[in-house]
Amino acid sequence: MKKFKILLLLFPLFAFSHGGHDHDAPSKVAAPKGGVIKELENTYVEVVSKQKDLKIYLYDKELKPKSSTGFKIELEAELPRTKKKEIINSLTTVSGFEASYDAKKLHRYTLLIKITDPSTGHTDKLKYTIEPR
Amino acid sequence: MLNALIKFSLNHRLVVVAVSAFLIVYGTLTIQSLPIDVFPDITRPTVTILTESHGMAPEEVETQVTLQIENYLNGLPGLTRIRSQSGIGLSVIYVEFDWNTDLYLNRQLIQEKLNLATERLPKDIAPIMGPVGSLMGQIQQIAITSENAQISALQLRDFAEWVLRPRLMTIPGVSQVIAIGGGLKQYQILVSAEKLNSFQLTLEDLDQELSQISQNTTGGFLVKDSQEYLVRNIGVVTNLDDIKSTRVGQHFGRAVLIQDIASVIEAPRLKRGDGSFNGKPSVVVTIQKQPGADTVKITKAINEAIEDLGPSLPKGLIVNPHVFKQSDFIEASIQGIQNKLGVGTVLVFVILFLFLANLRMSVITLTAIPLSFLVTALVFYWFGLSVNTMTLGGLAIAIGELVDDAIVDAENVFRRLKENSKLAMPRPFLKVIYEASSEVRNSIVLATVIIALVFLPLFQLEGLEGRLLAPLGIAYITSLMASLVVSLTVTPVMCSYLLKGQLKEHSETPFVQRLKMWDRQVLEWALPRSKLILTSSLSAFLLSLLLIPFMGRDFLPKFNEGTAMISVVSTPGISLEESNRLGQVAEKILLATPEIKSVSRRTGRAEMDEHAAGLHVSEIDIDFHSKGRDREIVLSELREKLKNSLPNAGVNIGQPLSHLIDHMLSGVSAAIAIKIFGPDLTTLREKSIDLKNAIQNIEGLVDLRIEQQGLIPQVKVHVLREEAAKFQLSPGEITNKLEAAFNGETVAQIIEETKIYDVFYQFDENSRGSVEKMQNTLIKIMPDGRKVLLQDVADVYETDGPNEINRENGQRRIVISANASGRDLGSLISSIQEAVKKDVQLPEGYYVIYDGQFENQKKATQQILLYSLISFLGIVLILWNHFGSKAIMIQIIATLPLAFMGGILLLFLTDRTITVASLVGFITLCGMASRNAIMMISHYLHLMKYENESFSKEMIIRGSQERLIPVLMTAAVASLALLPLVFAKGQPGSEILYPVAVVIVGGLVSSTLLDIIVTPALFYRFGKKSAENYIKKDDQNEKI
Repeated sequence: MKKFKILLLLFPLFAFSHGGHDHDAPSKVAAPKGGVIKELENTYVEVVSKQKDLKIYLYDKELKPKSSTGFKIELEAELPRTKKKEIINSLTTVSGFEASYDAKKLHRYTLLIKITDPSTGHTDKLKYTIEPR
Repeated sequence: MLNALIKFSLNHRLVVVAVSAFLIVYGTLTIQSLPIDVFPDITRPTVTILTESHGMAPEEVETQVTLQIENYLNGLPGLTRIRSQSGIGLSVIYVEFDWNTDLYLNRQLIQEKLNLATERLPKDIAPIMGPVGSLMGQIQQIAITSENAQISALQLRDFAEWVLRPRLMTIPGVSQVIAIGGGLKQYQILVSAEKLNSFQLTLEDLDQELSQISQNTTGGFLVKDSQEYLVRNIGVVTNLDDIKSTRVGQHFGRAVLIQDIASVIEAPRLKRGDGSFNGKPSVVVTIQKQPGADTVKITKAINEAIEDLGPSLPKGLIVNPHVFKQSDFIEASIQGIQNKLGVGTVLVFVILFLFLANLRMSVITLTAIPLSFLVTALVFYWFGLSVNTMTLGGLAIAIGELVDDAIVDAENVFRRLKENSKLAMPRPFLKVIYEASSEVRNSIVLATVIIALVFLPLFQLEGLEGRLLAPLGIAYITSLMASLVVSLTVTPVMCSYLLKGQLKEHSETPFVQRLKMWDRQVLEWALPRSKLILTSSLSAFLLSLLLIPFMGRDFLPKFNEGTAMISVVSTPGISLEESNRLGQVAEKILLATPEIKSVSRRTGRAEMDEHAAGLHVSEIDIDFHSKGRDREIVLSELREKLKNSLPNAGVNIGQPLSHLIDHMLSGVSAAIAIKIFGPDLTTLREKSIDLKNAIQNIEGLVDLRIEQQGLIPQVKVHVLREEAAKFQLSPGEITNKLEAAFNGETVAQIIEETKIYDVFYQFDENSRGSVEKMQNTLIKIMPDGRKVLLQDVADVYETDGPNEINRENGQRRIVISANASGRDLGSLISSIQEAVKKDVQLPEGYYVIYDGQFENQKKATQQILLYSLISFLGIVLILWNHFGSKAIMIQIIATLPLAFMGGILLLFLTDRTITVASLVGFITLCGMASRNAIMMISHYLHLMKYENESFSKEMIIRGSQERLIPVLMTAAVASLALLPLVFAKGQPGSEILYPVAVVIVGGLVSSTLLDIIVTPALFYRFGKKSAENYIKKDDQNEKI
């Protein structure tokens, strides 16, 4: 009964959480630049990788390019098996971000994106598997 | 020679009658055995190569299978295009050859190349060729449903595979029977990785043991008591218990049986597709016919076979053979054209009687129709042609002209007999008929030769348009040739039998007298004003040309098949369950539409199908009630509703046959195919979206969608070579073992009566249901007892990859497809090209090609114009050779614009679209129009030469009046015979013939009305010198 009461008290906290959906689930929309697209509350984030180059594009819910102004982004590469993380520096462009990461001989790494949307103030984490070869 | 033919016929009248009677009987019998189809065979010689590739990813299928085979196929003689689709575990290559190549030779050449290519493919992968099929091959769909809850999905499919399919495959002409839906029964050994592990068995052990699970061998012979006994060693499994009790290893001295490590069940094979009928799960069976087989006969045999099976069907199992039947369209089309032929023939008779007011004359001329038709039927039989809308269309166009030659001949015979009867000393009866027939035979032959010549461009057309329209030309020319022979043989003989006696009493009807009076009045006025007449005619023609830019351009008119096909294409990578759900949403919307009778859906791909649709694709066939709102309104409403209910899915609405034709033309089931070629898949996807955005707001563009080459979620097992080497494992060893564990393998077959089921093994859901479980798969037990798990030697991770990779002529490509609605293709493509040029930037190495119906329309129009020019030069040469005068030749050719004028005007007022079919109308018109002028001018020359007339106004008026009735009659019968087609816009079977008829009728009306004035006026103004020269020259020739 005690546990039930605690649960009942904790229940309203869900109201303060956002989305409730899985950001890393496969998207049902086609990525405009042919990359991998994932969905945030108000924004779609598409990652296009070609060898070392990484391009991150932002779109609104109508899939129209969104200005990157105000968005904060942190990029990291997580290596397989060792789970070692390396920070990736990025440049802000008009409709997204650009970065470069040399994975050396690795067949893949996980791109971890921490992104803060100025319109909601929420910070979300996204994972993309990048296969540089 | 022609005179000899007429003479022979009149001298052997009974022979002519007997041969005619024989042709009537033989032709009538033959016509009944001719195969019936909706169109001529329009299948491009195409060979489909299917390679099942053990669940490989599309990238691997492309590089290891498709590319390898394509490399061998390049350079085959007659090869025009190679298209390929590399999907999950399947490579489909479409090898297209030139239209004139032999399909069986092509298949033989491909088989030789495949034998070589197989050596370069991964182990156990063998390409096979799809069955010989035809474009119109999908002739029927049957739905098998159950009203009895006791009948499972497995039983439904069992009935389709083992009862219905074998029965239907025995019907002559059936080439393939493909079932989708229900469940294909399989005996499954679902191995628990955990139990395997606990008994310390490896995948290798399991694989080796299971490969011997079911084997019979022979033990030779045993001789006993003077008898020889055959020794059989029985080791096959026959049921679940046999499988369960099979040993697969040893653990601490105890045998490990399959039941110790696995559950053994009867279950459906992994489904890559599903079916439903009217919203309920069902098995949908598609029947394909062999090329050239009679669709109507096969359908009848199928329905009879299903009726025969009726009493033996399990209670509650329903077999509905009326889901889709191509024969309905064929029967409706053929019936429609036959009715129009009938109405045309009656109208011809009415006209003949109106002008001739003579039953005997009408009978003589009408005889040409059945005789010519039956001779044409015999020619079809000898050349292996079928009765179809095109060949019947050729006859419908010809029907009016078939009596022309007979009219000209009989009318002249009648006139000369009348004149002869007035003589004090009448000449011999048969001699008069011979001379009268001989008198007109030159102009008859010349006109027929010209008609045959104008059809030359039709036989030079390549591609679909050539296949469709050449049989129309063959039917038309054959029947005209037949009518020519009839007019030289049967008509004089019938005249000799039927035009005896009562000629003196017969006089022209008041109607004819009135027409001749008007003709005289008009000519009296027109001949002195020839300049005005010519200027006005030329101005009218130029004005009519101004209408052309206001007309649209299309390849062929739209077919009215009575059914529709809707493709619902959702995001690649969705599960079959989700795809089924989306399909059901669409079905619900369709079934709520009152005009729709039935809905059948096929989602994904059937097991044996060469149509490589992914799970995300549903094809829905719709049958309509005959009553209700206009089809266009219903389809447009459905398009809107489906778009709103399925926002993330692409919807394409078309018709089954039109879809197949589009697919044959461009490899895409839509009228417009914009193809982007380039090496990188990501860039192709990006540019396709840019292109779609650039054109999506263009008016008249519907069903716009990008070929679903998206990314699908994948789990990759990447073998870490250095780690694997530590455990003495090679990458190939690991991937081979995993294939069996995760993808499964068929190890044996169980035979139940005549049914054969696979025995299949793979890891159970618990052992491979997550990445973590996969990582823990036991790969090997080291000699020291250490267990090597998959995660020790491989990186298992989730990622994305393409769902399919499409290639064309050795290059990767992506297609943006669309249809046109309420707008012609020509102007739509121009708008698209403009928008793409303005808004789409392509990187180096990437380019766009516009394909589909428009491209074919452009090519066909160019070919028709080029070959028309050649045949025009041929006509010029013939006319010049015959008349020996430039002026006469120009006068005859000058009548053509008069015909074009009417054709253009009526086309503008009705269809307002120029298609390949309407161009055929103009071609036909050339022959018909020049015919009247030839007849008219030949008669002026005849009067001058044989009847002592001099070149004068009076001679021209006399000649015109004497030719007026044949000219009016031929034009009226030709126009009225085509009238039923002019009022048949959009009717099944009349789609292509309608614009042909519109152009001909319009052209005949204008050319006949103007010809009566313009040809005499032209001849009066420019013909004197050339006519006199012609007579002089002809006299000299006769002396020589």
